[in-house]
Amino acid sequence: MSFLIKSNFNILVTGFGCCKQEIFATQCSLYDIQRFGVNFVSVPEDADILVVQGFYNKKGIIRILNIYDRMKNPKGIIAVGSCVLNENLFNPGSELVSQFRNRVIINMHIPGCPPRPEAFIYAILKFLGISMQ
Amino acid sequence: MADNIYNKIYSSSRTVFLEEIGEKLKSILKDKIEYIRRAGLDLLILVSKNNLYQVIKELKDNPDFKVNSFQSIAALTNGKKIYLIINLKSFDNDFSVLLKIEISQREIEGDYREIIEMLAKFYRAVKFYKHSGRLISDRCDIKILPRSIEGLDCFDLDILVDNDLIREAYVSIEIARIIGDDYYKDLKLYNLIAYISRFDWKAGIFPEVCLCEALEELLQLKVTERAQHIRMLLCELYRISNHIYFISNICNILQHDIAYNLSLLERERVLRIIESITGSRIVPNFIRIGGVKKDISEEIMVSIRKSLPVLFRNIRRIEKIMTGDFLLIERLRGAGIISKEIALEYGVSGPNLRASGIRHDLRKVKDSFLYKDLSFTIPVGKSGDCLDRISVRFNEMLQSLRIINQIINKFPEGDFIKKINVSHPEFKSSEISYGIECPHGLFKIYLEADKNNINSLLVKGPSFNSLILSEEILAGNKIEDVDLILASLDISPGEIISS
Repeated sequence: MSFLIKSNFNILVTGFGCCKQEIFATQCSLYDIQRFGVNFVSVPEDADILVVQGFYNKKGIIRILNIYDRMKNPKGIIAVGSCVLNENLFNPGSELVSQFRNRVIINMHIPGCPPRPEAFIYAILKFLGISMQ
Repeated sequence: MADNIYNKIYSSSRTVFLEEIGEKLKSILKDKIEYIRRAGLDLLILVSKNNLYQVIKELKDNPDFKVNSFQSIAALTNGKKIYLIINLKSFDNDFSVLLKIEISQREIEGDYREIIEMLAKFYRAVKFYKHSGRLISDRCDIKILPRSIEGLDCFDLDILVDNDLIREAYVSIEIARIIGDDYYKDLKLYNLIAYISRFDWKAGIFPEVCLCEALEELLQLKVTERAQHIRMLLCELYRISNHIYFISNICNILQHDIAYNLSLLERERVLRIIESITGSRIVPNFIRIGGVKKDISEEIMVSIRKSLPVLFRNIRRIEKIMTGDFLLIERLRGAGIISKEIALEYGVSGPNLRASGIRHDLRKVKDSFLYKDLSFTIPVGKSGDCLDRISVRFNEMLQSLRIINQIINKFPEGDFIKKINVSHPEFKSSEISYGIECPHGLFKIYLEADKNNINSLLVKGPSFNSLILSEEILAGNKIEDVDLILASLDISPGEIISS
């Protein structure tokens, strides 16, 4: 993933779920993710990384795939939380997650329900290739 | 010992009052209904579909009842039978009823359209269900998709405009319908408690408290004073964290960076206290049937006592920064006005209702918690616009700090949990409706149980009513205020996934 390293790194967060609070908590001055040049954007064309988290139904999955198609290369996906990692929390039998995984390649998983802000920062730094010194 | 564990909950004065109304209803509607009984907070009435029109007409038009507010409608399954539960409320006489109707599978697939059209003759709020599922995308002027701000990410919005003023707005929650009907069927009780905090992740303790208190009332179990104090302490901490997150969302939309950063910092301070008590930040899984998971140590008490004045000072500081900025005030004043009558009609509760000038708080009304021993006031707004909704929440945070101060000053000694056999519970009564004042409003649970396990469970959050109301109040406002007005209603997406 070294080709993704640049001075400005844009993230688009989709879906709704518990993890969203923890992801946006990294913006506050206690964690301050922006010192690594990481920004949160809301337009797919600007984004380098798509963050997938929370609950989805059939319509939601189609929308995410549309957003992913609109993003420019090179691009990647980070999956946050148990809902996407293991199975949909409230629909244990549903095949949505496996359908989604067949369509796209997920570059990184962050486990936890929800994961802490530090875990998210750690994952982003791993992604960027910055060592945690 | 057995007496000590299973001693009965004291009946309050409200119980007698509800039963009086129940008797009156029974004598008036005796040949139209099958039974009427008290289920926790509400009166449960089983009606056949043919008599539903006459029953609702009687409830609405009779001056003794005046059931004038629509709360919710939802389907639930119990065994092989399917029921529809309609929740209506009378604010004049302060009671609410649950109408239970048996319907067929075919009607569920058709979204029980017949019943909804019948209800729409009486209540305006029901019109949301009439057009839900079929948006007007082909003829709308502006289509707004879910945004990344928390609370505005679970619905689509279609808008018809007149120049820059909104004429009509339509909300669709199709992407938020996640939950299957029977997610709770295979779960054990302790698993269910862990799952249920996902229904309101902005303030995760409240669904847990609501479910555990409902089950305790079914088991006729009285919790120790220390456990109740720990629950109250956590509830108030989560209330502060939710409100301060709300303020940060508003500042994010208004691009007010100083207040945004300061409020997120204070939220972290509150979350650290919560984490030291429960071990988790967002979804605690801390409340147990009969008490709480863990005791609070003296060290944590000292740290809370130390951080209270800091929190008080900093929240006042954020308030001062926001109210000192006349540009902000002018933007917030007069946007998204909710009048008293509309708020009551649509069944809005919590700070949104209080901002419209109605002093209604379940903490003062119901006496299951020990709030009656504490002194605090209920802040009320005047005009019901965005500014009032924000200032009510600021004042509520300060009142919550006052409550926490009183709680830790008289923290009683004793056990923090009464141990019971959770694997084989013995429920005394069959159905219960239970509510709690969560930061968004009245969080309600309706559950039916036989002797040993839960058969059906309905969760109803207050955000859904605020979302229905948003269609009404967006009309007449400017397009640039859409995000601001929707965020000021404090919608929690978790409450909408169960609708």
